[in-house]
Amino acid sequence: MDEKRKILIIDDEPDLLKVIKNRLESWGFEVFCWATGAGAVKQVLEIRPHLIILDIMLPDINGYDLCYKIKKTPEISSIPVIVATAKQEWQEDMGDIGRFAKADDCIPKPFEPDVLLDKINRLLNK
Amino acid sequence: MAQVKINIIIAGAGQKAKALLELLHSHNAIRILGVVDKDSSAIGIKYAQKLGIPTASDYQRFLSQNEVVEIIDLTESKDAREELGRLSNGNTKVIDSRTSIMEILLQELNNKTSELEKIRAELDIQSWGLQKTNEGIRTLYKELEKKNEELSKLDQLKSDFLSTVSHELRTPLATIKETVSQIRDGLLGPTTPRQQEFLTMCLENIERLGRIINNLLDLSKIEAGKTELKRKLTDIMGLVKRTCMTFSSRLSSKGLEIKITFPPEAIEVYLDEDKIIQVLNNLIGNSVKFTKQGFIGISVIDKGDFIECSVSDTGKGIREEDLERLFSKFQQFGQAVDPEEKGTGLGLAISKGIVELHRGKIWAESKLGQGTRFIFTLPKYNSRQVLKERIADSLRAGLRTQELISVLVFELSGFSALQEKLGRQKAGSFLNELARILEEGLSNRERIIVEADAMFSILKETTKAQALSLKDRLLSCGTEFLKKNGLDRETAIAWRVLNFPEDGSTVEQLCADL
Repeated sequence: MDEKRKILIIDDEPDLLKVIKNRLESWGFEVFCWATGAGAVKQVLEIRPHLIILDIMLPDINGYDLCYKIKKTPEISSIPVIVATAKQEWQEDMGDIGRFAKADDCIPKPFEPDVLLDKINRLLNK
Repeated sequence: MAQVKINIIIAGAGQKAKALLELLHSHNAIRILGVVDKDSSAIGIKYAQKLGIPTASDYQRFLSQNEVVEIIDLTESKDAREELGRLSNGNTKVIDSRTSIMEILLQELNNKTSELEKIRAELDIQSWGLQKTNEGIRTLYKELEKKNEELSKLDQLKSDFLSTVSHELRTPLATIKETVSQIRDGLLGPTTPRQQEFLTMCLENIERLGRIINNLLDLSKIEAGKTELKRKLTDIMGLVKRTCMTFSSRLSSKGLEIKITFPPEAIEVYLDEDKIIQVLNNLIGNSVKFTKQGFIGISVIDKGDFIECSVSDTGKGIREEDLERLFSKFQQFGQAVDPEEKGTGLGLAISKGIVELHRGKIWAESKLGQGTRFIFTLPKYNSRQVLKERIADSLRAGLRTQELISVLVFELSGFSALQEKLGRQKAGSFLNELARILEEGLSNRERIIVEADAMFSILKETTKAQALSLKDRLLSCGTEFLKKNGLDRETAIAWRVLNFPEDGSTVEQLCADL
């Protein structure tokens, strides 16, 4: 077995972080959590996750801007990012704006676990 | 006005005489017979000559036996005075510039002054009125501005509220849903079958709550005029077929049949696929829900300018008095055949909103005990009409809060040829890619909206000149992009720049020659 795939979740909702972490761990991933935009890029640089799940509504930064920042940082630009949001208008535009921010995929909240796993696997096996 | 004519001779032609001539020569109560001075080069003589008034070195030719002549004495020397004294008799008066003529002038002046005063008083009243009106207008303006500000704040608040509510409700819901499903899935330890049954029920209700939130927000957005259609040329029959497919398992498990009636020729309509699917899902879902046996009939009819879609069923029907209320919010009629399929009571209201956004109509016909038929129409707009309408909608929304707006329109000429060359899908994504590139040239807040085979951007607080220079910049980016893709021969980018209020003061005027 190769070592566990690492996923970094960036979300400001501690309860949700806890349950998603549990779900992802049940699928065999090693999970890291981060709750703010501040220091997020540094976290990504340190952890070097295989994939990032990024909430769009962070307290200090728009998730799309953070996504764009990550994608503009050469060492980590190839890490796939799934953006997630509970905001209605962003769910509708997620395809468009997500693409503009260079996100790889998007998922609305609340999400279906199967759908999330699908998206993760597809991006990791690319 | 003075009626009397006074004949005068001006004696002496110095600086004073000149001034007097200037003052009197056009006065209609005074006739200047002449100017007398020994010095024929005096300044007053020259001036009199210029005015066409006779001049002389003595008085004889100006004096008359029959008429009264007044000699205005402006002479300086003693000799001249003496001479004037000798002239004075019954008809000839010598005055030293203070008597009757001055009276007349004074009288005149008085008249004029009182007239002037009257006029001034009137003007004062008028200007006072104007001032008041001005003040009134200014106050009104201020009030309008305030109201406008309040309205746009309210508008913003409303849409902020919507998105906040959606976010605030969904976030805990996401945690609850994920927690419950993890317990049910056994991630947190084993559960009994009975626990699992209850947890499943719980999840179904979470789903339902999610649906209600979604529907509520959909509807609020439609009502607030915040819903934007993403219209694409779509094969309507294909869309209906695909939607029907998603019902196949539910239909077969209920033993219901589906009957589809399509015209022989394919019909393509500009529509928002997701939204029309939402309408179809709703109508078909309702039919399935309320029908025990029989069939669901779906038809598409080409009516020339528009298409007519209908979904009919052999359910129990709706009472005539309920038909009107059908499309209102939170109206639920009758017991659904399947108790587990609880609706939100918002589906038809949303459907109505969506169809009307497409400028179509929706209604229902029903016979109690025989079934119900829902019909909606969609106009067959061409790409130009779709673009025009979309720009008009965006402008209308913008003009609610802005006083200066420019619209930038880009169009790919020969887009249909491009579609043939690349295929529709690829041509579409090419257009989107072009839009993305153009959007990078805009400031943060502005967006490019792709509609049919064109795209546009609503630029707030932008003058025509600013819009034109922005257009130049974007156009060169776009043209370069076409070249890079080797498509600059097939197609070119055409553009239009419209400005409010420069090019028109209403949305209709602005969009008229698009």
